[in-house]
Amino acid sequence: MKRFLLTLGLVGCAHRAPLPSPSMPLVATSRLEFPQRPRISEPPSPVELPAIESYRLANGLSVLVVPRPGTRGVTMRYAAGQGGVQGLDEQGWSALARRVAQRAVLESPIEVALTCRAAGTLSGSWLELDTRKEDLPSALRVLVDALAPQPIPSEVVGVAVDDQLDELHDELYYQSELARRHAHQILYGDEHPFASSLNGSLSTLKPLTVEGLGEYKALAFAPEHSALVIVGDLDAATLPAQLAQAFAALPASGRKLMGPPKAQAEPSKNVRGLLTAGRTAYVMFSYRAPAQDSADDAPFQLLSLLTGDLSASRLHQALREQGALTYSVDASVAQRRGGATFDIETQVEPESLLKALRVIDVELARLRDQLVSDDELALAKLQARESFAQRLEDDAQLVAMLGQDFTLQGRSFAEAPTDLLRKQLDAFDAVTSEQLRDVARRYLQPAQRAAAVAGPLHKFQFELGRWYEGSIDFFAPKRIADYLE
Amino acid sequence: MRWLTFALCLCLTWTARADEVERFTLPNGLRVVLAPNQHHSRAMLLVRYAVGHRDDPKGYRGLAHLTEHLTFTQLDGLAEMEKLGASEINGITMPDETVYTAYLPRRSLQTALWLEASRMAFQLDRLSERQVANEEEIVVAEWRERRHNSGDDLVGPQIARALYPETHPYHVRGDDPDDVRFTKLPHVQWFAQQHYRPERATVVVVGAFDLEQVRGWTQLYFGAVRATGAAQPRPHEHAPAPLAKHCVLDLPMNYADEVLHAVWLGPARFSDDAMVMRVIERLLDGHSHAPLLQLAQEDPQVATTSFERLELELASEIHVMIEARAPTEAEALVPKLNATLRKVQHGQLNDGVPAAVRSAIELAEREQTRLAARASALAEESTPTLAQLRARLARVTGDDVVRVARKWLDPQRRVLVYLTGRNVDSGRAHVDCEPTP
Repeated sequence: MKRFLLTLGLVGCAHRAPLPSPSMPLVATSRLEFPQRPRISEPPSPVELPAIESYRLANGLSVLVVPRPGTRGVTMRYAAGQGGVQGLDEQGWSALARRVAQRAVLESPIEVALTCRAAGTLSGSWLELDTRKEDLPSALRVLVDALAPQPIPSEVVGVAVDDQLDELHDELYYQSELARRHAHQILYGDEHPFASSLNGSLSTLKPLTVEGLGEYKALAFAPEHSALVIVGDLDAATLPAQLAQAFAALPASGRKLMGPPKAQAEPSKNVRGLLTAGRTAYVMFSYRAPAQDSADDAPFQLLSLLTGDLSASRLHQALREQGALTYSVDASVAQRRGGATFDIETQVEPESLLKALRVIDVELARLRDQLVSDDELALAKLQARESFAQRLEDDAQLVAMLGQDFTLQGRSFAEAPTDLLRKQLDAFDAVTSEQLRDVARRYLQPAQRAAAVAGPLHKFQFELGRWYEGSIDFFAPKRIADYLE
Repeated sequence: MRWLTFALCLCLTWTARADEVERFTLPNGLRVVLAPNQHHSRAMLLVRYAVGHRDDPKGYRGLAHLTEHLTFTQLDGLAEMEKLGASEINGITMPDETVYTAYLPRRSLQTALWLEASRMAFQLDRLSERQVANEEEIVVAEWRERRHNSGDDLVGPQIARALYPETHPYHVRGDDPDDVRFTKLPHVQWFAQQHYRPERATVVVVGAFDLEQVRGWTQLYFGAVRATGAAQPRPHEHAPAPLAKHCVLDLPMNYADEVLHAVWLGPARFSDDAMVMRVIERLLDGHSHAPLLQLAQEDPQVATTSFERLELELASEIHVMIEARAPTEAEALVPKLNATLRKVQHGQLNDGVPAAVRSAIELAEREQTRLAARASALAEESTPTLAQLRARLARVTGDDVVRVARKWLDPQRRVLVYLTGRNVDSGRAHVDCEPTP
């Protein structure tokens, strides 16, 4: 037997020629001769906030304008306040309305948009256009035509439904998506929109008629619940008149936005094991997190950075750099109107699952029990500030940021938008390590955790049972048709 | 130290250009490109080494990638950069090159330049076998995620094998976990000595910075890195002619829908034909009435489509993907692909050429406003300037489009990939190639 193994070993290595040894000394440059590491003496420069003009049109549309002469073209986002957070029966409708609107822009006989992107979250939908400076008036007209209440051709609805079902179908093949969905079902209840696909399901899309979709679209993009953010090379002086003329064709709806149904009480079983395709064990930990307008938001955002968002974060260091258990590890806060969810995700070999889960437990316990060091806190603040500054610089990221503020918080921009941005920055600077420990204690207790692990269940079921002493729900693969229903 | 400064003063060659880009070469062979632009508040630092997957020795697939990871380990690099307030910190190993990037506040640029210079100067001298073994597991975990989840490490290598002859540097692509785990500390140290040297590197800084100051820092820190002798020539082949065979690959993937992925070898990057190919891309996929987008919007069997160009040093690739709607099978999409391409090959889209040219120029202009894209373009010496791009694209005619589409998008000279779930349990790939008659 030993000889057989030896032969196999030789065969396995035969294709590898030995590499030359490195020449000595290893480096040609002496460390003594190399310049000393410079010290940073300059204090951080203040973040330059853009000058943002804001006003409301007669139909109630909030307008935010950031002129940037010298850039190439204009980027604009129509951010609508109605997202996927709504009644159980209407799930997937906002995504469908957005698809129809995007198609109307793309199908317009006037080609004004270099690109037209559309997307949505639970808290809003948006259309985003890049256009040329000289095409801006035409682009506004095309946008308004796409949003205005008017009959929608049934073939357009047919294509949109096909696209949506296709996307829904795709979602169900991803370990991450299934793990997230199950973890959020534990947190909010099986049918709650926070735990469902933005694309809805067959049962929520089937009852929707073409006329019903038209009505819903009028609400979804109602100007009084929406904001238009425009950034780029534009003439701010003539813009109000252009906007007033273009948006005269989009009247206010006079209707209220639909809100989310109440979340169900947390079930006692808060760990699930899922049998899915994929050879790794995909781990998802989810917690309810503070909403963006909460005083806990800034400390929680910094806590998220230090938990798993940065390379220097606790989980990145413990799971990846020291443990070599994974390549990717992440922690993130998903904000939506009225709440937020904090997710920690990683994927490991099934055989290493127990070790990985224990590492996560230890690190979260440390965050609850001990104060983070001054260096860690300073790093989190610096990174929060710098990533904020970076987003301000890029046109597309700036329209996303301002649009998101509107859709998440429904801000009327009674305050100057620049002041709001300043407040967000100041809130990061004011966070203390005690506040970080406090939010960790209040939001990240084991009893508040929803955990889902997806992958080859037979390979990690035992490990999962060794980690969690309570009862675990196991899910065999569900037929795709069942999910779609 | 003084001799070094003196030598620098003698040997620097300045080539300031009209578009405010300063290029010079240090005596140790390092190329430096500085492009200040005060419209930005931050700067992008990019360091490019001319080493990539194609330099992996036989039996050591993944050595370039592992070395890239380990240069971060030695520096504690990602975390160190984060302490400087950097974002978009990345290291990426590609077929031809390894590129390190960081987006930085102005005040941190000096320290970031020092960190990158020390990466180059000391390579992997302070690593232990344990650190190498640890990082090998992380690289294997990355491979596993990409192979089993996104599929990148399954599809890419299979296409490369079909597309390039066995002797071509691009024939083998991606990591091999067994090879990665076989690697020892002296292997990566030797590899770093061979390739992480100033004469094979380019440093680019774009964005908000003081030109004089940064020029001084690059001279001080990178100038202190000694050249280690003439770099060994890299394996080289001329840009290949259009593919001389037709292949069908049936690859098992756990996709919801079947996908048809067609790949051609394209014209050499920055060649005249490559300019025409940019226009073809806009004609086929760049506006709402473009045939590929129309296919996705109007054909009930088609879910999505895309057209991508991958421009490498020795060749370029053209990838067209069509995702079917279940239960449509990938094979059924082939006639639709052919019919779409015939439109451009038979001149039916020629009326749209002027608009496509304009769109290609605007796309190039927009790209240049992004710091990362600009830094990447400047790192490559042969990249045309924006003015040159504009002039060359403006010359493209309808006749050019027809000629180039016929020559490079030939249905008899391509690799067709069917990504299906049919053999997903066996994990087997079926490959069938025939020479073009």
